[in-house]
Amino acid sequence: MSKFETPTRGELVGRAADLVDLIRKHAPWQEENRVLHDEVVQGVVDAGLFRLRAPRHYGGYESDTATVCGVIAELARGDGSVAWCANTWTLGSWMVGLFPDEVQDEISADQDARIGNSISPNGVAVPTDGGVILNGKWPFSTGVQQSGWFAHSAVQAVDENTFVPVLIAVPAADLIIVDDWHTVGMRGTGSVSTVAKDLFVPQARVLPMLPLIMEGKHQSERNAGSVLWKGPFSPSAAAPASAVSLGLARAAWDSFLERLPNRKITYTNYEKQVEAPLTHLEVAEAAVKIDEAEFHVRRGAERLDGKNASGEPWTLEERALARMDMGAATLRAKEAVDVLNNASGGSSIYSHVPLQRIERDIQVVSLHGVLHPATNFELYGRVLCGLEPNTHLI
Amino acid sequence: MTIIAAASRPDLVRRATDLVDLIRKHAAWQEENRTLHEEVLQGIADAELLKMRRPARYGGSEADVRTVVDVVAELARGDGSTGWSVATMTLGSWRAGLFPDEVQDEIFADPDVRLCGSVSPTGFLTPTDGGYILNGEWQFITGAPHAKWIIQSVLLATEDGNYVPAAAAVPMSDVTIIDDWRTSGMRATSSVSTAVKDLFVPAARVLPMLPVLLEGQHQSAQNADHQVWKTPFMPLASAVGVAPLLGMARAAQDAFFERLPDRRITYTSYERQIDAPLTHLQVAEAAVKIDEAEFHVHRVADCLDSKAGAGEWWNLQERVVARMDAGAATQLVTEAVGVLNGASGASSVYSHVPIQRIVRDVDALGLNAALVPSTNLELYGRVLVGLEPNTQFL
Repeated sequence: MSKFETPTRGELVGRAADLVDLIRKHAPWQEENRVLHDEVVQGVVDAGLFRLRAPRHYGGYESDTATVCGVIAELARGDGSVAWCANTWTLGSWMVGLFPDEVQDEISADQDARIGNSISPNGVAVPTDGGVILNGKWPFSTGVQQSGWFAHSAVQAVDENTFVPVLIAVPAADLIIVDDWHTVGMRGTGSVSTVAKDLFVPQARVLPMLPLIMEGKHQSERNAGSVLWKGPFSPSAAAPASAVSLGLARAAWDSFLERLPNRKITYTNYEKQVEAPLTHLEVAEAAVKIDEAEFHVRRGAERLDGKNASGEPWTLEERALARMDMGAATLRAKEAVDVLNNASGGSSIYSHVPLQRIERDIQVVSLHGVLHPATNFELYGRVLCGLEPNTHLI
Repeated sequence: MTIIAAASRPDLVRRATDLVDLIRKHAAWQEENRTLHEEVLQGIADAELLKMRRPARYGGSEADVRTVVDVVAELARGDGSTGWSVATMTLGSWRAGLFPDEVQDEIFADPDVRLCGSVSPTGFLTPTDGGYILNGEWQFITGAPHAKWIIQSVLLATEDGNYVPAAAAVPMSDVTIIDDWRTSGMRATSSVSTAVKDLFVPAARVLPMLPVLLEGQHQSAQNADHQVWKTPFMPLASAVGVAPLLGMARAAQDAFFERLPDRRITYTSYERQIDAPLTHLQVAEAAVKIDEAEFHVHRVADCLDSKAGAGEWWNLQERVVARMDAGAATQLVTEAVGVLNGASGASSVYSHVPIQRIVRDVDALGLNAALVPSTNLELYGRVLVGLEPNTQFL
């Protein structure tokens, strides 16, 4: 194994920023073809940005959450779909780090291996000699067509009435793809459904989730000492997704300010939109909300990084707040995009204008079960009132 | 000379927290009598919380802005009027520190001196032998009945027939109080009007404000190299002035959660308000907005402290963001308190229930011209799109 310096946060976020123009160039193509452009995937690979959460043993950077969020937000400034895929694959490489070392050796032979994943346990694993037989259908399998492996969430039958949650690593080639990704937004993510049919999976590739969720116990000896795999599953897995929302809001900001100097306000006396006091209220409101979205993303990341470093245990309220930060970041980002979109005039609905795509993308992101503002408000509010949470994903 | 050990930040904030119960006990009385209670004033004096921005040679603690805003917010958690009064008196003693040292010696000769002041220049100075003749009337002079000195904002007639902004230090014994403080909220601040007629002011007690506002150039030799006085006035006033609103939002939260366990929702089948999903959405929305308000308050405070520490002066954008932070925090607090008030039922309209007073106080303070969200949004928006600001109060 060669020794190398882990790049700094500034370096990695800078590399992501350098990719924004390339990503923007391909964004309409990606939306139309419902998959990422090869040049974009290669660009992200070359920048090393798929290694953020890969184990150091395989050349990964084991970056902290703040770095991952910074990179994902920059990629989303280019195209939300690219950031969502990058976030998914980043999470995938972190998930692989939870498996036994020999499984990691198989999967991570390619240090830029892309590993898709699912969180909802939509499969059933039945024990058999030396492993399990897996059946299931998972919607929203982001990036599977450009992934080498997939970590699918499933339940394993213990007896007729008892099931326990597991995470199962399978080669992407063993999954059947159902191309149902015909959606209103985030089209470039290619989040088709995947199906496993009577698929045999060796036991080592079946990770029991209860010990992980309850006690933070994973199966990797090599990663036992790394702070990256010490955090609780849900907050660790989820936090950077909110950076996609933040980056989309910044993309809308860029797009709006680029068009502003050449716009008037039709059917009014304003010859220049830039001079209308209404415009000033709108851009300020959007800017403030983007800063607030950034505050929530950063607070979520710093809480996670701080606790990972100190080993401090998480209270229930902190876990609920971790989800609330994601929901609030997404809500503020969406509000900001809505304001800018509404101020963009009829000319902004043409397919070549980025704002209309960004608006559809943030709408789709904000419907995601973990990011959805209303769900997170309810969860956080329950905990603030002293009630039990109404989800296990906390 | 007596050496006084400056109190540490957590110590000052804790002292403010320790006063919350006493302040709450007197809040209703204070509102009814439109003044602070003697026990409250004494408690604040005993805790040395009026000395945070007073020169150390007069017993001041020269606390950083982060400490000041946290102390003021805690006092306002007891009562908004009390927090606001301490905020304005703290700004008053800071402004006194800009005057020539001999004037400071006079003002701070009384170790318990309290200062009030005005920001709007609604008085005029005309030159005469050895000084100036002052005439004017000033509204909203918080704490005038408790103060020994006042720092009045004025316009100074120059030889070429123009006016420049200045500040005049005047003993309150020379000032007429007009008791017009009959208001919908913030009643205990006793923010009466003051008037001065043909009063001679010695030259040393008149401070030209343009050098202060533009370059941080003041008249005190002793404070010349001190970072507490290397801070522009409006950003400082924005930070300190908005802090009571943050504290009032927390007061509303305290008041809401104190009443919640005993409340049901009348004319519905909810036996306990705490079980209603609507309640969870409401408390979470309020909590998120309060956290966001805190983010804005701390951002402007930290910016003031870090720039003063580094010896950096302020550019236009930074000054405007400081005002925007105050406006955004005001907006969020108003919304959060509105949500909690809306969830408090008709039983909350009785005068002995704190939340009805808090709502009126927030509404009243939120109309302050430096804090009001709409004006600050417009200002920030103008600068974001590259126009000139439409105010000199930056």
